[in-house]
Amino acid sequence: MRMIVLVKQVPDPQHIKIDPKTGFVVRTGVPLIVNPFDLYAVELALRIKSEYDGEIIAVSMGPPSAEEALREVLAMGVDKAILLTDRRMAGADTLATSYTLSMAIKKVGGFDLVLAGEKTVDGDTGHIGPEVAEFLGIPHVCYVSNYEGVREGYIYVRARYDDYLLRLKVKLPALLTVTRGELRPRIPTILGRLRASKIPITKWNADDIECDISRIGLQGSPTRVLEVFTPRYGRKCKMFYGDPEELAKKFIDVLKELGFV
Amino acid sequence: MRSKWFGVAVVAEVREGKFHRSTWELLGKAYELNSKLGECVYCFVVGKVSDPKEPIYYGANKVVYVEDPELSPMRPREYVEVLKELVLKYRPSIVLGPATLYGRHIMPRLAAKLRTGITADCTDLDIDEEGNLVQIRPASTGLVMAKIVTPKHRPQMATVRPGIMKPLPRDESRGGEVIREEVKVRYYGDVEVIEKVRYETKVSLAEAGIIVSAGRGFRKPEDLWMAKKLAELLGGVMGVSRPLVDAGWVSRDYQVGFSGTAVSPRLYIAIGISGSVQHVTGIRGAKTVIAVNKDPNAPIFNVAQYGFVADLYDLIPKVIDILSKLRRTKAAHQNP
Repeated sequence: MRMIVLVKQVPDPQHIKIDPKTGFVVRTGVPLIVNPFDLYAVELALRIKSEYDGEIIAVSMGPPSAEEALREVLAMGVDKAILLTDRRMAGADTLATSYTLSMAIKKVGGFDLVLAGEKTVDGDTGHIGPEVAEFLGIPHVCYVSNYEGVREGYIYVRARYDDYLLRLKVKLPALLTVTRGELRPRIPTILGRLRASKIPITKWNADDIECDISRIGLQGSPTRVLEVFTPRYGRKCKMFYGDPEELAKKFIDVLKELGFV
Repeated sequence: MRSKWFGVAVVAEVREGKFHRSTWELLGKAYELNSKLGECVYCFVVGKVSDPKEPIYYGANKVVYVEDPELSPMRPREYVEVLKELVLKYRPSIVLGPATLYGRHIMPRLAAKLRTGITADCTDLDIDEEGNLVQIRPASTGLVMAKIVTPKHRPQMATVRPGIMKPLPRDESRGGEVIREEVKVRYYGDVEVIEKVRYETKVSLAEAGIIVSAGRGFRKPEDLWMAKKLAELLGGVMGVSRPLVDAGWVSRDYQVGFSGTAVSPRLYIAIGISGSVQHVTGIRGAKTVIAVNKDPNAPIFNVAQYGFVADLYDLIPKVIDILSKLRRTKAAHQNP
């Protein structure tokens, strides 16, 4: 099995804050991590590899700093890593990102499976996987929680859709987006980190993957962000301060007034 | 190229022969958007439904129906090819789809096939002076909102989570037509559902009338008993904010907020929740919000009608105590 795992470096959501004075998002000093959902995709790839052999190649698009994210998944056991880094790729929306990733995947070629996290914690769209699958012309399944086996050109997976657990049979090559639930991403060992530090990370720019420049980055993005704002809500809040004992009584009074007690 | 595209289309979600409620919610919004455009509200129905006229009663002018029980979102390639044919034939300038798990499965793939933009999980949609679709969604992990447009590409695509938009009242006197379309489908047969097992959901936040939610103000998982107990005393259910789910305290079934479940209870009590945009967006449907937070400047107080500035560890046990006593007295009166 030759597998490609899509990885993104994201700001740690626990550390992103809004400046109370300016209302802007504070990004400086926010630690960068591997998108947590991607770790499940890496874990699934590693499990498939341990049963069926093969190769796992991580692909990431981002600034040069994203090399650290790739180093992290190499330490988990990924075999090779490719960083798509080019200023012309910046400002891409999901369509342009998916196109770029699909061109890189085509360049890698000869794959059986493409794996991605269910979504990223920063963009939070969950759209990249299905869009990449369309550009590659392969089937896709989202919210995969585990796999059951690979037989005769098909992978058997379990996926979670609302209240249902689906058992599916998917023809290879295919793209799967992976969710939490059954897998526990492994923590890199010291040996793993040592091994990872010796693996060179391949860097490709837009020309290397032979993409149509008009379809990447900001210029290739149909959507435009006009503004970013903090919403205001019109509700007027009646505030209660004071001693907890008193407040507890007031709390009950409010519940009574509203008819819940 | 833009001028050739007219109207607002809603991609219906069909589950076991029935329309999912997201279809009515999207039609309500499509109807409102179209009132500014004066064009047409389409409902694209792919699959098999018992009554294809139903979307008309919720605001569709034209229902475009491809009756094929074989087609489902779990066969994404086929499903998206059919939708593409419908889009290219009717040329709606806007295509809205549900941000349900099934909707997320197919809508982005359709956007890629049409090579157009798509905005996920919009919390509001509007039409600007030029007739463009204005798409509002949370950004930066839900801390702020972004206003997005798709200026040059058509159709303009957006998805909306269930529970965000309001449907029109069902009205059988609304007029409209059902157009049956035959689309030649190439069956790839590359995805097959072998088995579908319903697993027990512990909570149903979407339908709950009373929700007591816990946030980062709680110091450890065991302390959640306070939120559970208060919910139980009020006849409601417990919810949590995203950080507690991310920390692995409880499953995602409990998550209230934009990336969890959008809720619309009669009473929402937020305990130790600061009130990120992503959380408050998911509780916009709540009738009454009571918030408890140590920090008087917590943004949750901007969306609450009643705000209690207190350490939850001081306040909530006392509230539980009084409520328990009240319940016991009431029970004693009822069963002497």
